[in-house]
Amino acid sequence: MLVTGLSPIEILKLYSGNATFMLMFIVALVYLWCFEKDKVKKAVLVFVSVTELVLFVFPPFAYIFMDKAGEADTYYRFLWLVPSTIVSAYAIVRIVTRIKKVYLKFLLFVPIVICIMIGGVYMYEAPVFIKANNAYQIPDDVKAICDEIIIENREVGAVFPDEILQYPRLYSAYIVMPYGFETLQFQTGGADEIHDEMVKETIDVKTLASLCEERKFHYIVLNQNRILDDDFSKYNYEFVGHYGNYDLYKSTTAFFGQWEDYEDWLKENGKED
Amino acid sequence: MVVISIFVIILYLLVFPMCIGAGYTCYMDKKYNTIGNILTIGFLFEIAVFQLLYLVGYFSKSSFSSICTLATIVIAGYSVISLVRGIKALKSIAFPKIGVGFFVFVVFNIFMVVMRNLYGVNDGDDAYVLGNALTVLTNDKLFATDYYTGLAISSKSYLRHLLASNPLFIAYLAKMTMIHPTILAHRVLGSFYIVLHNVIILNIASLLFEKDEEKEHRYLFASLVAFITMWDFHSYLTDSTFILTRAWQGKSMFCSLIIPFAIETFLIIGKQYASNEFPTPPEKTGIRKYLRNNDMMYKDAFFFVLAILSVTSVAMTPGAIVMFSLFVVLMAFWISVSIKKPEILGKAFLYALIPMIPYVIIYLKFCRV
Repeated sequence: MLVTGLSPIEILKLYSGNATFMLMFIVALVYLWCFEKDKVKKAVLVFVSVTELVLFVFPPFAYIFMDKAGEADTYYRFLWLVPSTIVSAYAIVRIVTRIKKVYLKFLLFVPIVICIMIGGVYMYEAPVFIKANNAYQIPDDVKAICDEIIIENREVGAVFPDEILQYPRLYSAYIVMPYGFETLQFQTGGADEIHDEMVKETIDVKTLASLCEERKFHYIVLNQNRILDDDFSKYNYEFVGHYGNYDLYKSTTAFFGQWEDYEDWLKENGKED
Repeated sequence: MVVISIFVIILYLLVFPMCIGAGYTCYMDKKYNTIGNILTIGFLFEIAVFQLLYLVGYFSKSSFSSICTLATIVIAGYSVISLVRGIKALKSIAFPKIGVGFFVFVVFNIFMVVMRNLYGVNDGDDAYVLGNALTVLTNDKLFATDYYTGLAISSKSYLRHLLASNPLFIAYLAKMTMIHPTILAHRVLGSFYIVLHNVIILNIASLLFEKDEEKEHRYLFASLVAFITMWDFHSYLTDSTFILTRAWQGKSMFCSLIIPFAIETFLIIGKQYASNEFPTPPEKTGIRKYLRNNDMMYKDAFFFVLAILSVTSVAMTPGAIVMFSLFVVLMAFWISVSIKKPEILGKAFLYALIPMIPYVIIYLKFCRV
């Protein structure tokens, strides 16, 4: 077992999933090792694949990249160098086309296809896919919120919940946030007081509103499943509307105009920068 | 506006790559003069050119607009020069034979492209790739604003990805096509890269099934690869998952374009050296007699392709410095041993690994946080 996280064998198991495709790949390697006569094809498809797999689980190699280079989280990417799909498909075609009679070819090929379908997992049913209703392929709720809050040609500050944190800045670079997806993904970018408040089951409205007002954030977006312990309107944020699963609150004290009008706005409202 | 955008997309994804690619395939055997090879070599070269100009721009503290202007001049200029050099190659392109197998292969491609456009992907890495592209495009400055938040940059974590220009290449194409980077990447580039991946697989198929009587097997193989790829979500870590869910991101491009194309390149190199058959340079007549002797290009054409792949691979992910180098060494070693031609290993080292040295120096000096 290596110092960091999973061992290479465990990563290989994770990469192989239910092992059907890995088994198919190993059978393909064995077949090509025994029957492939072309030396170049054998070298490229078989010898390189086997060497890569051996290297992957070879402790000193894994130690250098996982522990010394600090790439334990991305070590699985070395498995991308193994052309498993190409090797498997090549062996299948070679095996099937060795058979002379057409009906026998068919009898062999159809079960292989069925095995792939049963043993594999269909990509487009993966939970990572979301139905795209707009050109940007971002959730409609987020697009609607962004359309509501954007001020032309200037930045606008908004606080978003974690589950949609990656989307607003795919839509507009003028949307500024106190913390970004980096905070969630890498636990870097610094701890943020606003984030600490946003992830609570019951939102401390007074604290959240005062933190956002202090840092001049124009909007707060909250998932409707959050419980509020108070009313935002008491703390200078007014309710704007529901957007799908989210509620939008707007500051009543922040500056929403163009920057050339900022000085006048400060004077009119008796504020200091 | 829409017409101009479509025109520029065609220019950058098809016309320029075809011109640049033809400038290379003219040094290769005629059987490699296919649309797939020309397009792939040309497009990867286009990315390599942008990568080099981006690095120059970054270290000279140029604005993003300046890099774009320079890239446009160089890419367009180089396309014209390549077109002049490779016009004969373009005229003698080998078109695929259309039959049932070809039709099935096209259906797989259409299906994948339709699915790419029907479904979005809930993936946080876009916050870096497309967030970076959109931020640079909006602010016209490299790494002045934190692309995750929009605040002034405080963390130096971006340095880790400094060598990977793919987000900025998306921003560049977005600027030229006047299409929002998110739409461009999710819709246009995502679809284009999936098709380009399948085209490379078809190129590999024509090397694995060389004989005339095996021609139909090529489409069976390419379609089977596409089919397995679609059912390869038994783990979220597989290359297929990355190819089909986030084709526009650098690491996905590394496994969808770079690795398969390197496999194709090594299959050709191995075949050439095993049979000792290299394309013969045309006889020099007229003014060509006085031009520089470029006979080496005919023998080493595919090693030049490896050099381009080296430069391009790091534009996609800095991890390619190690991963692509290792891949090249293993490929070259085993082919050299199998056919007893040690010069393959030497040349692979010369062409593919030497371009990595400046990357290593830059990485060690500037990219460690």
